[in-house]
This record gives sequence, structure tokens and C-alpha cells, in this order.
Amino acid sequence: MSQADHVQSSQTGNAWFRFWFQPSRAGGLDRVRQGLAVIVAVYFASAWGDLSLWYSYGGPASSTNLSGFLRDAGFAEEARWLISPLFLWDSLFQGTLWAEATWVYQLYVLIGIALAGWVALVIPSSQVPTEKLPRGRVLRLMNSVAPLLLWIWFVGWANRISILSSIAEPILSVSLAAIAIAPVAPLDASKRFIALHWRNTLSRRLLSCQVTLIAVMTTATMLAGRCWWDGTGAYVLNAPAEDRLISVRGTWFEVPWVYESTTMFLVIALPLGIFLAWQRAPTQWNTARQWGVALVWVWCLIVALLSQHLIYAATIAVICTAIISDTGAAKTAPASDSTS
Amino acid sequence: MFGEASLASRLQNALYEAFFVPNPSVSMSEIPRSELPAEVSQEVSVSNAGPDESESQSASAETPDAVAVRSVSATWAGMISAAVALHFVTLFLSYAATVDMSDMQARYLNAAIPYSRMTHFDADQRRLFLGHNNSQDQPHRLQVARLREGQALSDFKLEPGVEWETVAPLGPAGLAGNDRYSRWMRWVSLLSDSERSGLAATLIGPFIRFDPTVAAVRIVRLPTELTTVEQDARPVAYLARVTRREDQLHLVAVRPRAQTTFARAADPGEPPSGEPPSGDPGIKSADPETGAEQ
Repeated sequence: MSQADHVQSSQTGNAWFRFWFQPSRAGGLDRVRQGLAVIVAVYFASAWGDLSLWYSYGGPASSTNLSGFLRDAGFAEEARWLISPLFLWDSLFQGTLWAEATWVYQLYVLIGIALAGWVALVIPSSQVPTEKLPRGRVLRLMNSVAPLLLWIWFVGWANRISILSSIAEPILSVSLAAIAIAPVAPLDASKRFIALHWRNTLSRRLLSCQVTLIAVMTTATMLAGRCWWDGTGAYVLNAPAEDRLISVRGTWFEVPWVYESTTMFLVIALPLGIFLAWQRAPTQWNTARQWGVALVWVWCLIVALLSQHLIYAATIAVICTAIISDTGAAKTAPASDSTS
Repeated sequence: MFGEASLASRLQNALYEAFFVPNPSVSMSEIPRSELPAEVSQEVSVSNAGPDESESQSASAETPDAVAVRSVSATWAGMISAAVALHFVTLFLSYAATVDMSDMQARYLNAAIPYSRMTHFDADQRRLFLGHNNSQDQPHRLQVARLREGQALSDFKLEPGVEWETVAPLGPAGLAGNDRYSRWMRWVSLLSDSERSGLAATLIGPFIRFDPTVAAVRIVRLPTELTTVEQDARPVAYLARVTRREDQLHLVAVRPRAQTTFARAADPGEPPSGEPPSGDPGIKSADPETGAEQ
């Protein structure tokens, strides 16, 4: 491979390649990775409670019942692509006690929590530069594949629950896939070197563009409903009396200007926050980036409190930080004549 | 023994290289800090001093000896760029379909199913928009009517005085247990609204299969603080009588009577009014008041 083949944005000046592939500091997305892993751990943990009711033999969402439903509904062709280790297990052991057994689902959830725990806790702690932790290739290998495994495991679950999944699962899935691309920062910090990696940039840009797309499409689809125009949108989120986290009945929230202002905020804050977060880092706009993310966080907090979209709001809050993460990354890669 | 260790070590190395070491077409260079271009050297210093840096890392990297740079070849970059572009087109069309979709959009999304379903990237018309103040925003609840002591199933009549018992969701709103229940009941309601009561019965059946005292089942939409009198007066989302033959459970959908401009007498060749659409297995219609099969 000749050096000339390498993408060196300083030479090519190609904005597209610079945007997606300019090497940036590995480890800059550690916080985002940790945040997503914590959300996945909570997600799996919250699924524990009624596994036996839904997925075990004879349950409403048991493999047999669900596949029968999908077949009758005419979704058989689409359902072929809902690939999950749990579907595979249930079909392999069909007719035995092991098929659709609650313990299999419990084990799956436990492994999911363990993987998320590894990504959230072990990867960051194993970057400690002192000699506290055993270093070695197994740990390094595990650290590098754990985010990918976590994504695959999560997708396996999301595909298995199929029609029970909400909008939170697709958003978590695209985010986990993007973060799995980012390399884990090198363990051997004692060598005192910094790694700049193109995969880190690709991951960060994917996360950033995905959250931007989600924000834009959320706002656009919100505006397809009349309630977001007549000022009652914020109230709509809290209107179902039996399905809400907090009740605003009889509080100052019922004053029209309060919920109408909140509606306006919910419509404007998400795209505005993302727009501000995308501002270039230097000079006074650096503050705008932080304000942009803060604005999105407030949006997420309101949505989480008023509606039941807890996992969704937490995911948006975490992935929006990818836009401003790693601001210190090299904007100009070293010259291509660098040698090993 | 030594040979096994060596094999294990080689296997470990191979796995490590497969997952961690980049593709051969990707360049890896490690250059001493002193040889870095001044601009990069400066920026690296800035990044180390950044507030998001972990304490340990910044401590070790205050004066790094070298910077390892991995960049990508033009060929790989081109291929990845094409994949990224396709990925975003798919995401955009999938998210845009949460309200409605055009034929062209539907065709593209159908073609993209192997990618979007397998990865679970597809929004699949799930509600990205938080809420639109329609009937799907109302809480849905499963309710059952039970037989009185000593009453036979055949004696049960769906009368106005029937007592309905609500099957409450598990856990507080927003957590998985509650979410699953809500989504499941909304699916039943959607299927019933689109005249696919047979499929709705497939979803509801397992809840009551093992409870022989259940004689009828329904899904109600609870009023919210914004629903109107007209919305609250709408018939239940799903209503069915339970029939049991040996070990088999059947749900006979009961259609609410509604005023309509359609003629009562069916056209020749058309299925009679109240008959299920073809291809919807297991559905039967019944009189709304008595629940008797027609």
C-alpha cells in the first residue's frame, strides 16, 4: 500500500473525507460509550420482572405465539429478518423443556447486563495507567469486542420482542452500532502515547449525524400533529392520567401560558440545541456548543418527566454529547510520510 | 504442554489481530512527538488538558512520547462512504414513514428490510413524534368479565350490567413492564380497528387461556384529560365473547352497532354485512347485545 493511497485530508483537502475519516483521538467517546452501556443495563434490568409472563411457553409473546401471529398477519417475509439467538434457541429445542423456558430468557438478560456492565465499568477502569490491573491481550481483546457484542446482544433481544419494542430500541440500536466502531483507547498508557484513529472519527460523526437526523425527524413528525401547533402538545404528553410518571393536575402547569410555552420549547429546543452543538469549536462559539447540549438535555428531562419515554430521552441525552466530544482531536493529520 | 501453550498463544494473537489490529489496507504509524508537525503537537496538548479527559489519562499523557496515527485507505474510505450514505438514506426514509409514507418510500423500505430489520435500525412506523393527541395516545386496558359461581359459559350474556375487571399493567409507567402491556393492547386495538379481529384474538388469547372463569374480554381506551365527550363515547376498542371447546379457546368478536350509511342488504356476490373479511382466520361476528354468534 503506497503512502499516496492514504487519505490525508491535509493533502487532499476533501471536506467529505476530512469530516468522516480524519483521525481523531481514541478514547474521546468513552463517556458516550459508558452512558449508552448504562442505559442498556437499565433496559435489560427492567425487562427482568415479567419475563415469565410474556416469553415463556404459552405466554402472549412466546416464540410460538408471536411467529403464528406474524405469519397470520402476513409479515412472514419480513419476520425472516428478525434474527435473534432466542428465536434460534426456541426453534432448535422446539418440543423440549428447553424451548421457551423462562431461565433461557433470564440468562439472556443477565448476559446483556453483564456485557453492558463490562462496557460501562471494566473498559474505563482498565485504562488506568498504573499497574493495578492485569494487562494483556485477552483483556485488550475483550475490551475491543465488548461494545460490538453488546450491540449484537441488544439487537438479538430487540428483534425477539418484535412488536413489543418501541421507538427507543431502534435509536439505541443505531447508537450502539455507531459506538461499537470507535476503538477503545489503548491500555498501555505507560508507553505515553496518544492514538489518533480514523474509526473514532467515523463513530463520532455517525453518532452526531444520527442524533441530528433523529432530532430533525422528531420535530418534523411532531409538527404533523395539530397539538404541537395549538399549544397543547406538552399537555398531551401528560394527559393520560393512568399512564404517566408525574401528575400536573392542579399545578401551575395547567396555566395556559405555561404549557403553551413548554410546547413551544419542546418544538424549538431540540433542533436549536443540535444546531448550536454543531457550531465550530473555537472562539466565543465554544460556549454555544455547551449551551446547545444543555438545551437538548432540558428537552430530554421534560420529555422524560411528562411522558413515559424514559429510555428514549436518556439515549438522546447521551448521544447528543457525541457532537461536542473530543474537541481537542487533531484537525490536521500528521504528514503522510510518518513511519512506523 | 509447551506446544499447546504456543498454539493457544498463536490463536490469541490471531483473534487479537482479527478484531483489534486494523485491516492491512489501513495504515498505522507511530511517530515521536518531537517529529510531529507543530500544529498537531499543539492540538494534542490542548486535548490532553481538556476537561473531558480522565484524570489518569491526562496524567500519563501530559508529555506523550509518541502519537500513533491510523488512517484509512482511499479505497476503503470510498466504500465506507457509500455505505454511510445508504445507511442515512434508509434511516431518513424509515423515520419519515412514522406519520405516513409514499409508494416509492414503501418500495425502498421493503427492499431495505434485510438491512433495517436485521439490525433493528428500522423505526417501522413507531411513534417518533411523542404524541398527536389521537386515540392511540389514550391508555388501553384489558378488562375481563367472569362467570358467576356455578354459571355455565353458555348461559353468559353480554348485558349492560356485566361487571368488568381490569387487568392492570405491571410496574410504573415508563418502565418495561408497563410499556409492554401498553404496546400489546394498542396492537390489539389497532387490529380491531382495521377489522382484523382474528389477529387481535391471537394476541389476547394467551392472557385468558388458563383462566376458565373468563367469559368475555374487551380492550377499553381510557379517557385522558384532553379527550372530548365524543371521543369518550366511542365504542370499546375490542370486545369478544369466550367460547371453549375441549381444550381450545376461541374469541368471538362482538361488533358494536353503529349508525351507517351503508345499505343493510348485501349486494349479490358480496359477503353479508358483519361477515369477516376473507383471509382473517378465526373471526366470527356476534350480536352486540347478547353476544350470540350470527
